[in-house]
Amino acid sequence: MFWTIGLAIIASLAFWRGAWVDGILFALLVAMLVVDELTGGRIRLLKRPVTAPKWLILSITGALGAFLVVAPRHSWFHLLGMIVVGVTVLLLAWVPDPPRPGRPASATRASAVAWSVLAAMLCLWEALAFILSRTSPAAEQEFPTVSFLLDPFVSKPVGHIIFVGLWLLGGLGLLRVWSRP
Amino acid sequence: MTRDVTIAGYLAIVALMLALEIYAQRKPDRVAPLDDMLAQVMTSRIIRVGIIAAWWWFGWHFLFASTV
Repeated sequence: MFWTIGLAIIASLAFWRGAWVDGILFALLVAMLVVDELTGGRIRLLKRPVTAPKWLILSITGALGAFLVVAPRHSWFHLLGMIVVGVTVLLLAWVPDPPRPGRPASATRASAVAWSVLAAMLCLWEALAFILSRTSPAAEQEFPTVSFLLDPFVSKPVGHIIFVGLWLLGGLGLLRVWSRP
Repeated sequence: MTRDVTIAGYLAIVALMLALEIYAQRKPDRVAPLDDMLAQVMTSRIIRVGIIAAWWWFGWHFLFASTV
């Protein structure tokens, strides 16, 4: 419930700042999760969890990374690439990881709380900067958002390559596809 | 001045994140490292989909959508 509300807040904030596509995508995701929760987890996107050899996953990710690097930013090619990535990760993420032995529950809880607080602080600081940056044209420089600070770096070819590489590696790390049974 | 304060705020939060992870690596039975914590919480579908959606949106925001 907490996470569903969190995603609903993200969707609302996207609508509020005029990012309609972002808002609609997150709203659809929230609706899907709510229906799944109300029906006791009956939405099944795949019949069984996907597993693949590590070389195949890395090859596909590498090809996708090359495509995203070669294609100009904000182009229709990137839209296509992002849709392919989005649908694929939704299919993979829909099947949760099986439980595995880990750290003591108290340590996991402490870590989750600490990371949640820090993530919330970052979001609030960013939101404050965004609101203040809208007060005048000069304020955009005085109260830079994370996007405003990172955009010049990602606009450079080297920055574009580094961003795509780190972003894809982060996704692979979160999905852990090859470590599934 | 305000620009420096804004940027310092971001850097302070990132520094706190790094400090937390360093502490967790040294005392994993008191605070689980980020990777171990994510592995545990992502056994829930909602949390897993939520985190993956946030990751995807980050790429979407910088690569295709307008960034400002």
